[in-house]
Parts: sequence; C-alpha cells; structure tokens
Amino acid sequence: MNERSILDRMRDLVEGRLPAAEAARLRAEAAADAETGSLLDAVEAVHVLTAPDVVAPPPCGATYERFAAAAGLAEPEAPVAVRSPLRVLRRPLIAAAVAAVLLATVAVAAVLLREPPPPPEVALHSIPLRPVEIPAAPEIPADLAAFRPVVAGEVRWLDSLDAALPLSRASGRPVLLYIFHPTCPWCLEMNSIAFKDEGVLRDLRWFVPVRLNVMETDEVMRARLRAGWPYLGVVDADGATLAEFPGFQPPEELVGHLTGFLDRHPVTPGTLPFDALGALLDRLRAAQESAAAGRDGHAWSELTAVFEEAPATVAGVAARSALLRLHEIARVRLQQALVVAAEDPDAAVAMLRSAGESFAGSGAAADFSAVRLALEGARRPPVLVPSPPRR
Amino acid sequence: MSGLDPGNIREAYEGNRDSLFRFLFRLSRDRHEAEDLLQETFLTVWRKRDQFEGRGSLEGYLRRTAYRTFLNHREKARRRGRLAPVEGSLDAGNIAEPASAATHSALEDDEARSLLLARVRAEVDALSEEERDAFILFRYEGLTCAAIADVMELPVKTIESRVRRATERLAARLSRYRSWLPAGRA
Repeated sequence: MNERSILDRMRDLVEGRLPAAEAARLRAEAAADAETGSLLDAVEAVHVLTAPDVVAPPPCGATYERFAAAAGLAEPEAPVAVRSPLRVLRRPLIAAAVAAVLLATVAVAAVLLREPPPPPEVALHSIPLRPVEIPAAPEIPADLAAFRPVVAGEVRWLDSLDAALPLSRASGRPVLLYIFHPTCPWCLEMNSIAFKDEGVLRDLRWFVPVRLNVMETDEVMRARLRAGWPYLGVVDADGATLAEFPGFQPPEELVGHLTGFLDRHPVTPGTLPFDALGALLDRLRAAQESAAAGRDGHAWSELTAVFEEAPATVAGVAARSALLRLHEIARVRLQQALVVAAEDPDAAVAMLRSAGESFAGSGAAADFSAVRLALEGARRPPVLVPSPPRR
Repeated sequence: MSGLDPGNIREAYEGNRDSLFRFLFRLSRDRHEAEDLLQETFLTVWRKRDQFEGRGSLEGYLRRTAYRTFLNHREKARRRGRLAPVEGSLDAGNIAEPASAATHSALEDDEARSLLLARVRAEVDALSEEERDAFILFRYEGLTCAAIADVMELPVKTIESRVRRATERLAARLSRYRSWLPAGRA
C-alpha cells in the first residue's frame, strides 16, 4: 500500500508536494527519457485543466439515525403520558368483561357443537416444505486453502502441471508455466533476478506458478520449446495455452507481459485473491465440522454467510450445496416428528425440542419451536404452510 | 478500532460518512444514489461485522465495500437497461468548440471556466468505465495507484496503466483549452 508509482510521484511534483531533491531527480529523468517526459507533460496538463472539480460533491444528507433504523440499532423511546387511575383501569375492566362473555360463549358453543377445532396452522420461514434438490459439491483440492503463489518474497513453485490444474480450476486463476534448464545461464539469471523482482512477484500472485526442469519433462512439454529455453507460458485449467513468452526476459519485460496478459484476461467477477479464498475455505471447513459434530444451527448460519459473501467461488458453491443438505435434514426431522405426533404427541414434542437445540442459532430453530408450541397447545399435528411473502 | 459493535458503530459511521459519500458521489455522480449506496455500504459492513475484526484499516475496508456496492449497483442498472442518469453529464459532441484561442480572449473568466468545466466533464465521461473510475479516484480522491488497486482489488500495474491511458487521452483532447485558463493557471 505504501509503494509509490511514477504517476504518484508526478502528481506530487505538479502539486508541489514532492521534496526538492526528489523533484529535481524526477525532472532530470523526464528530460533524459522522452517517454517519461511526455507522461510528465500529460500529468501537468491534465492537472491544470481538470483543476475545477468536475464532480464536486454536495453536502451529504444521509444520517446515522436512518442507518440505525434500517440496521435495527435504533431504540424507540417509550411515550411518556400521565393518566388518571380511572382512565388506566377503564380499559382492562372493559377488556376483562368482554373476555368473560366471549369465554362463556365459546364454552357453551363447544358443549353444544362438540366438534373439534381445526388444526392450528404454522407458517415455516426457513425449513422447506418439499424435498430439496441438493446440487453436487465441487471438488476442492486439499491444498487450496493454504495455497499462496508468493510467500515472503519467494515464488512457491509447484513442480507439476497435474498438481496445478485442479488448483487453477478451483481458484479461477491461470497457470504460469516456467520451463528451465539447470545449466542455462539465462535461466539461472531469471531464477535469481526476474523471479525476485517486486513487480514480477506482485503480478505472480494472480497465477498458479509451475516450474519444470527440462531434463525431467516429457515430450509433450518439450514440444513447447520450439524457441529453446527458458520458456514461459500461461495455461488455463484445461491445459490449453493462453499465451507464451519464450526466451530470456529481464524483470521489466516480464512485468509487461504479465500485466498485459492480466489486462487482456480480466478476472472473472467473483474471483477472490488467494488470501481471501483461503479464509473462506477455512470457514467452510469449520462449518462442515460443526455440522458433523451435530451443531447444525452454527453450521447453517456460517454456510449462509460464506455463500452470501462469495456465491460464485468454489467456496460459495460448496457452501450452498452443504446448506441445502442441512435444509433437507431439517425438513426430514420435522416430518418424522409430525408422523410420531399423530400417535404420541409427547414423544414428538421431545423430538422437536431436540431438533431445535441442534439447529439453535438458525432460522430452522424458530420453525421447530413454532411447530412444537402449536403441538403442545393443540395436542395434535399442526398444518404446515409456507411463510407469507416478505413485504 | 478492533472490530465493530453497537458501542462504536455510530463513531465509525459519523467518522467516515462524509469521505465515503464524496467517494461514492464522485463515482455515481448522483447525490441521492450516493446516499443510498452509503446506506447500503454501512448495512453490508454491519451485517458482516464479524468479518472485519479490526484487521487492516476500517477506512480501507469501508472503501472496498463501497466500491463493490457501487459496481453491483452499476451492473444491476446496466442489466435493467437504464443506467442511472448522470447528474450534469454532457455529451462531448454537444459542447461548443472554441473557434480559436483568440475568440476566447474576449470571454469573461467565469464564462470560460464554466465552458471548460463542461468540456472536461464530457471528456472524463467519454473515458471507458475502467479508466474513468481509476482516474477519478486518482485525480479527485487523491488516492495513490496502490490504494486504488486495494479498493478495486486489482494488480497495481493494471491501475497504473489505466490512470496513464486516461491521463494521456485527456491531455491530448484537452490541451487546446489550456489558453482558456486565467493567467497563472496555465
């Protein structure tokens, strides 16, 4: 975050914020190199011409209170009112009288009609009513969560394309294939200079790097070496070649190739940096362990969070599959309890309480609880209905 | 700040509201849209507060979330086939060209400045979205290329080449107006 590019320095120069010595050095660089000079001219011209802020912001009208209300953080103030004792008592007295009349009416009607009341209805908000189709979970290589292409200034080369392709498929990153000869001086120089260069390392973080010794490769790989070695190529997850940069390359040339490739092949929306993907996969694994340990509610909420955070990644797709499996487990446990409820309501109440405990912390727990309360009240299975659409 | 909780969310909101609003306004060019995006950004951050846990700066985390929110919004608007109207947006082709620098010499400074502003705005709008976003954050938000790369979650080199292309394009298209500026500015 602290690196300053030449554009940052030029902007500081034209805004008069660059120390004098550094400013003189930059001016000298611009005088000596036509390309740098032309860029500095452009930065100066644009700085002057765009000085009026073309998008000058108005004052912000958003308030914390509006946000707090939407986030459920606002606490409504209780109305303060002074009421006379008679007014305070009047409503409860009327309500009690009405309730007494209603109760008497209901009791008489029940005796006269002797018809059982209809079963209660319970609206489910999280547990599905019908069987859930569970999509197959994607294959996630065991080493993907911990995989980082560059660690502490060193490239973490993989030593086979077969090991790299599953990582490439699961991460959405292409493979950078480097073939070298152990005694070739150009290869040795690339090993010790180009692949230690900060700019090269920065771009390499967007690839799965593979390094092969030409002496240990097969004929398929050697067919790539039409122009000799060192060889660099970019390969997709199916092994198809996307770009080739054969021959020796100094760091700045290699950065140009890699940056050019990244510009021409933008990252698929939803693809994450390896750090973020690794963190999500760790959470996915923890959620799956929670589910295996019977803590379904914790797994439910964590899988929901992983899916919502990055639905298009391999972690998001796997989280969705695991989450739908939990939905189906909850549905089956609920249906089993209702079958038992017809014969033995107390046993069904115990089953629902146990299911609610294992799904604690998720929306399913509220559904189990609503069904249990309805069953305890009516002593017969409630009718399940889908939740009304949210407004 | 080690993390977000009900005790410090007001401080986080009020401490970052104005800068984040400016950031979103410069990208969206619409005051009401920027206020809605600001609200959505804070709601997202609050809903996923356990993911922040105080790692990195809150300001950077908010800016990344705000930028993602803006991109999602732009993508949805595009899918609906009606991009949000750009406040004050002008078509580069509809703005009067100066007949010559000499013609302008008779213009009052205020008039020249407002014509120049419209011209600059139109040329910035004519950049590709990728170049425009990077240029606006570089020029008007004052972010370094590395900070923009952090916000957009792209390699720094990609951002440098976008800012560079935008700068060179604008310099080429606007250089003829340099003589419009009051003395001392050009």
